[in-house]
Amino acid sequence: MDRHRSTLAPASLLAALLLLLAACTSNGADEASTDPGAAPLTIVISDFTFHVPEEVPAGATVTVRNEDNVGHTVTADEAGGFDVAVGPGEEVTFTAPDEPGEYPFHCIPHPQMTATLVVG
Amino acid sequence: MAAPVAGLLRLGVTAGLAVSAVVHWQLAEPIGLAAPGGIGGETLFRLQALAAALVALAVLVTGRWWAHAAALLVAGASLVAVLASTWFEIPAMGPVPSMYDPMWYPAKTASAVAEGLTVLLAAAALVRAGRHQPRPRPYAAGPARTVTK
Repeated sequence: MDRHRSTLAPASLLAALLLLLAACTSNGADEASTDPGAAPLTIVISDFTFHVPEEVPAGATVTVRNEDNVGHTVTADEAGGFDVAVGPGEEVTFTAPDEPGEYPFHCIPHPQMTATLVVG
Repeated sequence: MAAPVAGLLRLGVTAGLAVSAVVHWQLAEPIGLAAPGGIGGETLFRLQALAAALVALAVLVTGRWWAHAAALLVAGASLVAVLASTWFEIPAMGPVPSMYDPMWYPAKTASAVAEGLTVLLAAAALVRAGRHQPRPRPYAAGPARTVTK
């Protein structure tokens, strides 16, 4: 009886460890696929064009990366909205609006550069 | 007939430079964002605006040939700069930042057109001034002289 108990304890421990490992692996995979923070929240500017993510979460930190050799701005059309300047080859961040919706924006020195930030 | 033409040329040159000055002054701040390096696009645009305004005043007040020559120089330099920065991606050179901007928008177009017209009108005024320069009096012919040995 004692011998049986002594072989059962390590087996139970091993099973518990395997279950824990499986649970951790499963949780990690779920987080990677559903975490909105993992999405690339970056507006890329190249060749005088805005490349905007499909949607960004409300209040998220959005990165602006300027790949041009001149400076640009990301300026909300609506007064008082987001407005950041990004120099040649630089990166800056700004906070997306807290209210979901569509936010048209433009570049101040290049008024023909326009796009829309969709906040979900 | 000559005076009205000269006056129209003078007014046209003044107006063209005035448009260039106003547009450059208004665009100076945004251009400072686009070209922050070196002495900055804002400084360059404000200097261009001041030069255009001063020369416009000189043309309007004096109407002299040297004022028109300065107008030709200022407007021509600005026109060359706007066309070059639109068509070619010129890198920064010393204190002058890269000011590449392939786009046309109303203010930029208005300034370029005004500068082109200023160049033409100032050149016409200079040609007229050259034609109307007082010519040196021909050598007064005296009685025929005979050389005697």
